[in-house]
Amino acid sequence: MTAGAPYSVQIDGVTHRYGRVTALQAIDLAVTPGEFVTFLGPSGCGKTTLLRVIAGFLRPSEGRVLLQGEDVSKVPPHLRPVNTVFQRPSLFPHLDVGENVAFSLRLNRTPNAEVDRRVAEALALVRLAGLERRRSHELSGGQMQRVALARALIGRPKVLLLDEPLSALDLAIRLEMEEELRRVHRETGGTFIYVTHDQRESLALSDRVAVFRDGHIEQIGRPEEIYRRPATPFVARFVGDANVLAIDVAAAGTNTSAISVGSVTLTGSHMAGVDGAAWLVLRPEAVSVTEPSACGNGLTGTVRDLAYRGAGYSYRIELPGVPELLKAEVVAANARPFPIGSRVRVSWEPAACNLLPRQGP
Amino acid sequence: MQGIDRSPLSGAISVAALLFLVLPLTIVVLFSFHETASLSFPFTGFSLRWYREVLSSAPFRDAAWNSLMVATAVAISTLVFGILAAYGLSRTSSRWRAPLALLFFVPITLPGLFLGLALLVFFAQAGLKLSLVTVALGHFIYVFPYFLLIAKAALDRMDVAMEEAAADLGAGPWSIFHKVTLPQIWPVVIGAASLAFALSFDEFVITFFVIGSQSTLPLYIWSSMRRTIDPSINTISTLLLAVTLLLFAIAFVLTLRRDLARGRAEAAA
Amino acid sequence: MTTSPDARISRTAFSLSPRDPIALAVPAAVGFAILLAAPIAVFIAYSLLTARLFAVATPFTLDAYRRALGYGLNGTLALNSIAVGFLGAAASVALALPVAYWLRYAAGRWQMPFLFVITASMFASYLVRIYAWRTILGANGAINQTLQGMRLIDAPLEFLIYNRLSVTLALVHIFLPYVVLVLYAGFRPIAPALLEAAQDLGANAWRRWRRVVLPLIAAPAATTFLFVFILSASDYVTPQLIGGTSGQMLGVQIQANFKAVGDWPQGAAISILMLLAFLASYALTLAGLRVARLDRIRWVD
Repeated sequence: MTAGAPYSVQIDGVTHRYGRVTALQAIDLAVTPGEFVTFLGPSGCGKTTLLRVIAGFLRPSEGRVLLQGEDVSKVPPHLRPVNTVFQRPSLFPHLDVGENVAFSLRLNRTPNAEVDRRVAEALALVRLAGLERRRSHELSGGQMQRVALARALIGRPKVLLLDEPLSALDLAIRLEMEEELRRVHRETGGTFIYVTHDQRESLALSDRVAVFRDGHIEQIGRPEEIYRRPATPFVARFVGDANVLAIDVAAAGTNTSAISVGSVTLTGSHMAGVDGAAWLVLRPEAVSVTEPSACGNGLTGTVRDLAYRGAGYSYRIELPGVPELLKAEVVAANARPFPIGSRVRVSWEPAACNLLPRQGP
Repeated sequence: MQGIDRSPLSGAISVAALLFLVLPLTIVVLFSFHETASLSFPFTGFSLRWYREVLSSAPFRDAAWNSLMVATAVAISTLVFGILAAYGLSRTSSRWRAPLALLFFVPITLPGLFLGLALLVFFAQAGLKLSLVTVALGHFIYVFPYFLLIAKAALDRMDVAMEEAAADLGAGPWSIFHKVTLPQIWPVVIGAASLAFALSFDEFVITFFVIGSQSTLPLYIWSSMRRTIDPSINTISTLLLAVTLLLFAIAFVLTLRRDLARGRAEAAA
Repeated sequence: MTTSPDARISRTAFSLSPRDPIALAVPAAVGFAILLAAPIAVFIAYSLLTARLFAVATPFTLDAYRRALGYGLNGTLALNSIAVGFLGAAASVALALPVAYWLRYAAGRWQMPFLFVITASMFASYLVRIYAWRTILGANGAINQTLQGMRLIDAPLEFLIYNRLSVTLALVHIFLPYVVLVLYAGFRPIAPALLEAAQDLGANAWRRWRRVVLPLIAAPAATTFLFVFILSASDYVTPQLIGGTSGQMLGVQIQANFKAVGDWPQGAAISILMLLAFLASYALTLAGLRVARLDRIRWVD
């Protein structure tokens, strides 16, 4: 991005309150043109609120919204260069597919020939070519959403907002639509802002993910970053499955530290910088489960639960002094599982875990 | 939820429309209590003299009594015939359903003038003397479709599977109706009967054509309107309003209670 | 008990008998045959009979229709009826649209109380309303008294009553609650999300109305318009009580033929001609809606 080129979307200290509830707290965010950014979080975290603020359906209590560098905080939705794909397609039932898609063009009195051309183009983009004369009630859920997508994109908006557009669809269609969205994003090169509570979806689609919690952004970064280096236990638990164990860092060095997990002390080249009370964040797939041995780093525990996953096994392992069961996912095609009640040795690569500071008990 | 578009213009129009509807009626009620015989502002003071006068007037009491009798007869007959017809139309898949429904709903589309005249002519042809009976017959035709509409909707909304389950458990048709169906629909049905009563009580046009020498309350109002110009008409009108509003309130509470209860049950499920 | 689905439905209530539930509707049907179908048939027959004073006789003839169409006053009254009916219906629908819209989308917690009052006002007697307007619009009525009291005028305004204006006002007052409720029901399936989508795509309030709201409410609005038109045009009580000379309508003439003049066939003929005119307008409107593909909206979510 060249210096001086404005951000596609810039959120500047936006706070939104209604009644006694603060839905958004002083949000700052900048989206570069062509980026696919996802707002991820549980319901009520403010992600949809922020989207509606960008679209213009809500006026923030404080702060401003800039599109291409221009302050649009006071501009009503129909005048903003932003279009939205909603959770429900909301196609106009009295118009056929072609007229639905052409809606925004008709508002601008675009000549008929151009309308026909652009509608055909938009429908081809979402792979529904030739369905101009169909009516909404003749389409499937996935098809309706694609028409809604075409309808939103035909006006070539600077930013496309998507508010959980796939959550009302069946799983199989959802996966198919994810691919479609990625492709459409690539082909149009537009800026997409996507809202979802499905963390798997967010990792698959985005250039950057912003994890929301209670009205603020807990962490923002590339999907790999969010997944591998979660900034807080909340992010760790929300994005993917995680073990989040309360531990104590006994001696922090520059490259190595000693941590006590339950009643066992481990030393290794863990991430430095954290001392005292900490969270150990460990992804289940990073845990290796082997025969017990008395040498080296490692913990020994007892298998309390076991489930076959096709690609491997998932274990729940009890560790001495640790209140929660450790989750481990072992991918091994021909491995023999460790039965429930057996003793196993648990270990992981130091680089695969995270230490986060912990307040309180 | 449109956060910004609160439609202030339509809001203002709505308030104006409400005032337009309510104010004229309020003025009528207000002047029924006027202490003088004047029907124009300023309003000098409250008095119940017109109520005393009206309520002690024999023609008024006769007319009111007649209206009451007719309305009760109409409500009951509509209830009986109506529940049967509603049940028959709702639970059938016969090809007669559509034509019969059409027949029953025709009176709604016909102006009272035509209904009244057609009945007048028919009674004349059949040699039937005009009386309160002919009035009740006329009201029945007029009121029936409204009752049917409401009752049938309630029956359609009901889950038929309940009746089937009862049948499966060995209940006969009357048992099913009175142990399964009726408990479900009785509030709506009573509400609809209440509506039927109110419609009959208020009816003027058909009555005008098919009544004999007696009078009903609306007819009494009409003849008063052509004779007197004092607040006694306001009083009669207010009494009429009170009765019909009371019936409306009953109907409203009965049908709404059912909807509220159902809404709560659905929300909890 | 495994039987075909149709038979199973009829066995629901009558597990012990093979009768179809529709048999229950027969008593009412008989009543209607006697009290509705027969009278209408007789009425039509009357229009085709020869007139005697307050009676009819054979031979069958089309004379009554000739008289109905030939009598000049009938034509004037018909035009008046159409004018008043049209005005009343147009005013009712035009006023009811924003009210129903507001109730559906913007009223919030005021929705219930408003609907309650509007429905309740529908129960107010027809005559009482006409009487109310007579007292308000009259020379000594509320409006004149107030304006004179405020010294805005010296003498009462005569043009307020006993003309088409007063008739139309009273008719709007009578039909408005009904139109509001029907249009409100018509707005129910139109989700706010639809209007939001239109706004998102660039439509301002006026455009949203024109391109989304009006097409979707066209069918209920048109049928309600017709309903009010028909009932207003055939009204005779309102014009009789507050119509004066210029506000007279065809209904009064029909009624006069029966009660005063005694020419029953002509009264019947005028009525039937009116009914046919109404049927024609209804058919035309339905056809128009169908052409515009607005007659039946298929809702999706």
